[in-house]
Amino acid sequence: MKPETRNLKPETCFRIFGFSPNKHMKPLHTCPVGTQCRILSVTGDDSCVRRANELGLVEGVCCSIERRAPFDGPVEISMGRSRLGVRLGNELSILVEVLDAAHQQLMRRQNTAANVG
Amino acid sequence: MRVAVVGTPNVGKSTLFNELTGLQQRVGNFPGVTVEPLVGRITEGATSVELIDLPGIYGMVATSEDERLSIDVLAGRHPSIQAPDAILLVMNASAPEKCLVLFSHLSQLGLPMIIASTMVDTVKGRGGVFDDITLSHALGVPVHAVVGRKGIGVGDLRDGLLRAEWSVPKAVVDLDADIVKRFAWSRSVCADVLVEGKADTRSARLDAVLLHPVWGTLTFIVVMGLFFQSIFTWAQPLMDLIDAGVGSLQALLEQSISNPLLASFVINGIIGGVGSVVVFLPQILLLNLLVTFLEECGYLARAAFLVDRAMGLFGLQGRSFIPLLGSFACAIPGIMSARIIPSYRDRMATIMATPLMTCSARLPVYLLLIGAMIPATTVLGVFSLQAVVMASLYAAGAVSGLLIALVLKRTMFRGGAVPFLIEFPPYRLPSAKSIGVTMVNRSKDFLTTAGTVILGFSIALWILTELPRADVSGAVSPVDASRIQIEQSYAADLGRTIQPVFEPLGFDWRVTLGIISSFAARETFVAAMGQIYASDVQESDTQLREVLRARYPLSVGLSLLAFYVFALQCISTMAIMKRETGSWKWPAIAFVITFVLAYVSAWIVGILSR
Repeated sequence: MKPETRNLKPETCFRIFGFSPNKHMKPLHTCPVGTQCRILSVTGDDSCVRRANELGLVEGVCCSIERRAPFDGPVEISMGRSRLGVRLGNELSILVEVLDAAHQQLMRRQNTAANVG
Repeated sequence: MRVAVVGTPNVGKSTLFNELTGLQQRVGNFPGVTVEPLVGRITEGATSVELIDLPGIYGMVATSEDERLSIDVLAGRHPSIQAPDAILLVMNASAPEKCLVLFSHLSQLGLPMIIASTMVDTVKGRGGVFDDITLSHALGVPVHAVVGRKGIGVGDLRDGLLRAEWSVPKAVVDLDADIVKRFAWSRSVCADVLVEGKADTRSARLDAVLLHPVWGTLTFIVVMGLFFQSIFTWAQPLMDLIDAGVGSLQALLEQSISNPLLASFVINGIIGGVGSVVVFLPQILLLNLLVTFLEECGYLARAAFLVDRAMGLFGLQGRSFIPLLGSFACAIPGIMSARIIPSYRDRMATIMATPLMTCSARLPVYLLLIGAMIPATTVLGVFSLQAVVMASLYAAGAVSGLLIALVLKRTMFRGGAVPFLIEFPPYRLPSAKSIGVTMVNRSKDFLTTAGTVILGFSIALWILTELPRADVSGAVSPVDASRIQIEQSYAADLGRTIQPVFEPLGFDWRVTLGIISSFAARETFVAAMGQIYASDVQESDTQLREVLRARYPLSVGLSLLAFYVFALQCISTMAIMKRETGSWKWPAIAFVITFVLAYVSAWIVGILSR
């Protein structure tokens, strides 16, 4: 991580410098189908961000990319019980952290704990 | 007592509403409201509760016009709809997070609340548990577990509503809590009241096919093809039946009414005019049946996902596809089905584009003009020139309609972008009762419009074409008599008066008269031309073609075709547009846009082909 980017919000860093401070972090629409990830930020148009939040796309939520509509269309995301079709672009962009196997294990443990407790 | 029925979209709110109130509902007639909420009533003895079915919301900040209505009503800010006395919150037991977030917003209003938790059968079916008693304690309001589409638990809920068994909810989150905090609270409650059971493998398996880039697209094309085909062909027997019924009613009246003027007024003006619109009822019923079925079984959200990219090119969203496709049969059911589009701006842009889709009423006009004007030669060896012209007329209509939608979305319906974000509900079998109630209500809407506005217009058109009565002595044949009648009518005068407007296009007063009379329905143009040239179109279609070919140059024929591609020549469509948009402003704008487009393109085509 470069020192000057340390105090920036991830999406600001990405916008200004074109790279993310964390090597796992990238815009959701660049992730291949099947990626497990965790949402770091939702940015864009106010109304779009609000609606995305209301549908459960909030910071810290784990989701996976199920499929992509033909011709670079919307992306299908699943989060726990709900599945969403989302068109990503200028109005709405989502930065995610790609989860490796260890991360996924941690998330699963947290989920189970939440359900049992 | 007034109770607002609130819930997030896709929780089975309208199914529950239909189960609760049955046919005891009407479209709320509130001044200045474009999104008309349904109002239902449940009564027992002297107590009666009025239920207002508000559009689905996720929180207390509006993203679309529909949501603004719900939020304004709930907050007591709406100018014409009174604030409710209590809230019936409908939540989905199988996916309660978003519903609980909505609850956290609603609890801050201080209104008493009662909760109906639908789809408990889905949870049970997956081997899970939904604990409504613990939820009731956690929220401080009564929770009724119901299965909307089977009507289970609806009786208890009804009693609860009638006995006003609601209470003011507990404060569950801070007033200014942000969405992340609300979700955290919601998830903690979910963890207490819900064990999910196994995952919904049926939906996952279906989606593996239905959303597949190749198979999904193929299925989509097949479903839409069937959908389109069914509106055209399955409705036909019923439409023929109505047509025959109207015809025999006319024949019966012809014998019983002796005064010829009165007979013509009743037979052609009233019954003929309204009959020509009521004929569309089977199409409307069928289209609504199919659309409601696709919507409730969960396929529509998937179809929207698949075509969203293509519709996005024109500033529309995936759901706009259905009304536009339906409009190829008839714009009336097409416009009515635009209700499935949740965003106000997208809905309006779609409605404005529908009249440009080539409806089946244009077909007779095209067939007549192409048959008369376009030589039956082949181009490039294989294609018939007539077929090529026909196909290009369809394409011109569709493309221009989509372009108009694009322009309107960039200008008039601009504003805060409503993102494409849809939930995929699990696949489920829809409730027959709910679909039935929806169909009956839509048909009522349509028949009311047909009985009022369209009746008025058809009487006006009858007066134009049938008055003043011409003196027809017994010596002439019936076809000549009708020719003399129309040549002396007010419509002919009107045709001659406004003919200078159409002069640059090369239309004479007869064609202008045909255009005026085709406001009843576009196919009337054929009948009117037949009347003017005293040929019985029913018997000898070719004869009329010969006459037209002899009288008009090719350029006029092409101009007329170009005119009919665009012109909004249909009072019924305009009446339904008014009905669905809530104001005459929109049909007027659509008329002006399409008229200018029709005129200019007819003029250009005329110049090019001269």
